[in-house]
Amino acid sequence: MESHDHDKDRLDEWLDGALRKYGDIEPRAGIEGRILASLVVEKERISRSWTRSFVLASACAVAVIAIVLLSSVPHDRRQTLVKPPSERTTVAVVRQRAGQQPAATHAPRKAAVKDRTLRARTLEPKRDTFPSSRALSEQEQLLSRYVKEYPQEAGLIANKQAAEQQKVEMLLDGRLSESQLDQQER
Amino acid sequence: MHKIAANPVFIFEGRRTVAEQALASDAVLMARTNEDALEAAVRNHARLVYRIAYSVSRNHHDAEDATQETFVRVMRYRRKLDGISDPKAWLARIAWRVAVERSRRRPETSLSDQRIETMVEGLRSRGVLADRALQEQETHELLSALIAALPESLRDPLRLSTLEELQPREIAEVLGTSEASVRSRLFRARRILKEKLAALEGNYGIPRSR
Repeated sequence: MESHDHDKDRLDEWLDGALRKYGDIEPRAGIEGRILASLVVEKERISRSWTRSFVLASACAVAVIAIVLLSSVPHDRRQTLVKPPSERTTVAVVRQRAGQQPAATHAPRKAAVKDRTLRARTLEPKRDTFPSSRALSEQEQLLSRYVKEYPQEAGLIANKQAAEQQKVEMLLDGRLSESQLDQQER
Repeated sequence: MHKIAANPVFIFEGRRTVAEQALASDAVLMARTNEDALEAAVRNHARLVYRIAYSVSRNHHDAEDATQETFVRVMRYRRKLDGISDPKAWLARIAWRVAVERSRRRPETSLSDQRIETMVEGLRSRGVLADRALQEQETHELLSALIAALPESLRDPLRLSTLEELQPREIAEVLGTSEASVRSRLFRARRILKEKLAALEGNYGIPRSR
């Protein structure tokens, strides 16, 4: 019995030694230096990655801001910015700027015109001169001189334009049919 | 002759290393900046991390890769280093997880029981070898095969117990289990190994049990 216990202890002792050798592993010399060097490389890689992400995010932010700013510009002003002034200028507009009674613009929609006129009469006081955000163009100046020098002729032209505009509104409104319009023009 | 205690697990508790005593100064090290703390962790615990990784991979190249990956992960969480009370256990846990993840990506080729029996029979038939180094090498390979063939629940604590830096309490923290469970598993693992080694009793320095 004692021999059995003694041999068991020897086997345990032998196994302890074998397991000790099993776990007795040493790394290659200089492992700390290699690890620290790899950490430096990894840190630089992360830093470059953050820089690239930041640049990309900034570019996207600038693009979004540009889109938002462009979309906030009103539609009619965008068209105003696009069209040259000469296409929009009419005698009626020039008379309006010269202090004459306001006239309808060229072929607006019926509801929009009515709304605009109603708004102009109810919300804002009547002005002697219509505020313009910019100075008159050369063509507008010529028309302004024409209106001043030949007020009667300019008035006739403006009245004619207003009548035409009224017919268009009535046609759109259904108050006037095309056949009636043809009869009036004969 | 000094009689070994009946419980073989106590044999492991008697070990102390210089590295463990250096841990007393870790609390001071943790008070430094994050970078200093990271460098201190590398210098103090790279060897332990490597040995943990090697205990899983049994390959020097993979073990060093796993060690580097461990400290890369530690670098990402270096701000936490100052608040950790036991950096050794924390590092050991990370090293273990990294090593196990890598080993799962590259499955370990464990020997079948048949293959192990063949190895044992081959050693027995050759009798006592004149070359002691070859004998020790073959015995070492056999022991590695026997450990690899153990169930995972017994193999993992046994592998970690072969590292002199880790006590059963710390092994329990690494594995996420209790100390009592670790002791129990170590006892069962050793019993299985002794049963399998019984076939080589009297040879290769393995004492007879009867």
